[in-house]
Amino acid sequence: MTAQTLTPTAAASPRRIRRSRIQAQDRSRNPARIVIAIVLAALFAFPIVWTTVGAFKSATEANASPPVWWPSAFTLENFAKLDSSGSSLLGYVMNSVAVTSMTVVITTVAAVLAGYALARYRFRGQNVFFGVTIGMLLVPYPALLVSLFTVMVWFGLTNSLFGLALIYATFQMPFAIYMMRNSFESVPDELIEAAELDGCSKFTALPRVILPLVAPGVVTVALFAFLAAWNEFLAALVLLNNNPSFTLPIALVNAQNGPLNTIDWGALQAGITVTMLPCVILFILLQRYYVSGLVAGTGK
Amino acid sequence: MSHTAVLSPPDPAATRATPGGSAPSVARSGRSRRRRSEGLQGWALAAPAAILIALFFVLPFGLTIWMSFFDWPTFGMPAPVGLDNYTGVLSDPKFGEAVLFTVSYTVVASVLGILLSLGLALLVRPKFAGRTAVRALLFAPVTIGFAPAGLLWLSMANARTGVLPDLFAKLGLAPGGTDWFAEPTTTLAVVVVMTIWKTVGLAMLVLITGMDSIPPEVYEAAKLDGARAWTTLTRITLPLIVKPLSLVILLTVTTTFLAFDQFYTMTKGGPDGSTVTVVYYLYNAAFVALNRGYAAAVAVVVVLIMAIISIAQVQLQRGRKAKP
Repeated sequence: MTAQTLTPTAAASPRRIRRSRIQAQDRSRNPARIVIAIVLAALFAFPIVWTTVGAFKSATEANASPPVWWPSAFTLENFAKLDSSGSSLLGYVMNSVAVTSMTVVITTVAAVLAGYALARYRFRGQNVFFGVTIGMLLVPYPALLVSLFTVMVWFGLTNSLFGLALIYATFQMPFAIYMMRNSFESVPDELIEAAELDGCSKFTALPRVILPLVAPGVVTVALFAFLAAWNEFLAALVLLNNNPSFTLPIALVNAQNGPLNTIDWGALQAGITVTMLPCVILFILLQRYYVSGLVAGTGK
Repeated sequence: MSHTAVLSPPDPAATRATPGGSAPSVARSGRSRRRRSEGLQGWALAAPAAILIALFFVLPFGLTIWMSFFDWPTFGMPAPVGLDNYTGVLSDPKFGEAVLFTVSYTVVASVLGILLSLGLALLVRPKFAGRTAVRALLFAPVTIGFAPAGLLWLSMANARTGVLPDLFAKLGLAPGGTDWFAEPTTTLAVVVVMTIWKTVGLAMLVLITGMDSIPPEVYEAAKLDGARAWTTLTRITLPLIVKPLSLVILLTVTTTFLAFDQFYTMTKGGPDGSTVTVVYYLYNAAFVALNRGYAAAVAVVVVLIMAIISIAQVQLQRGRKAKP
């Protein structure tokens, strides 16, 4: 049902793109607009800055009431003691890095291959395959967690970071396959035919000729997979239940419920900083790919 | 999984029909062999994705429906109970409260979020000095996960060390030391503000791409006709961004309705169970009460609710289209 809602009206014609470029040129010199925009941007950035600064406060200043707005000295001690009882912050960072990189690799490989198959091959059941993939969007994944937990017990994959990565990759499939299928479809047929004339088969043409052309799509898919896996909370909370295998978001919640229910705010803020800054930085570096993924996703 | 998953719209027009029935009758055996080998290669390429989807989506999806008709203990044999789980869910006042709370949270957060994202999109669409940086800062919170973002706002809003209560006290807006998480209303307010902070950038960006594709001639014509800013907005911009706008509405409503992380990290469902969302209720049933069959029934109900929201959205859009 959603299928129809989300369907793009028309493919953007080259003419339309040119027009939108012209329009993007319209400038505003209204100082009120600029001031309001900058004030709002500062308000939006404030929580990020506050937490990052808080991460470098000394324990006394981080837990002071009323709060200390600016630390008298910057220290790294908070980063060492997120969870003094279990593994260190570094251990959780490594878990998150492991889950995230496995998710990115599995998602990218599976989606590139499936996208290529959908765009360039004719096979029985191809429409069913694509339909089921897109149909996943209609089923909210928290609703599947009850049985996913049971399935993971059957497969012996509870408490496994690899098992978690498999789940994350699966739920990236609708976006990733859709994105890759469109990328491969936009490669002109002539290029593939030329490659075939040069002695490539359809299959060997993929890594040699076509993959470089769809690199932007691959980066977009990898970026979305990274953000999803790095930030995911509910499945990790349900499927990981021994402390050393926790990913960062779960470790943070655990630190928050520390012994005697006291919270070490400095340590918590250090953990939040380590969790959020990679995403913010990666987004700033790869903005172009994020937006192109968004544009592809919204069918503009 | 996250907002990203919902973003990819299907494109039935582009889905090519598999040639087969319409193949020329002169198909020779060599040709059909080639087609068969193409079919095999196609499936071989699609296999990794297909296996993932079969094992971690289709299987748990079927199992959820199956489990919902059983009493499913953690250890021991499941026992069929017919529709008992469903009647149990629908007659539990706590479930009704959770639905009611989730709906009100969704309405408040979605309405405020969509209005703000529309305002932001209009504000930062035209070029001005520093536009790129402003857009990036407005968008940055979207990339942070709901769980760390929830903890971040907890550290800013808690009564003891939080900067926000301190600021409110300094400005004389509230007495010092007020615990915002002690009252259901202020608790909800903090979560709503945090949700809007985290989600509004995405909606803004989608709306901007919609606005950028409106041909400038339309605005020029409106200007020549002497249209005022408000008229231009309601008569030109809004009707021409109906598609991205309805996508934003669907996206916001569905993700807000499935909220869990921010409540788990910030309120734990409190105070007094006043902020238990539907997914939180599901989590409690499945992983706290360990009542898995019952939780599966809750999950099926959640899937149905989401389907109703999607259908309602499609109907609304059809109705709008039907009008001349």
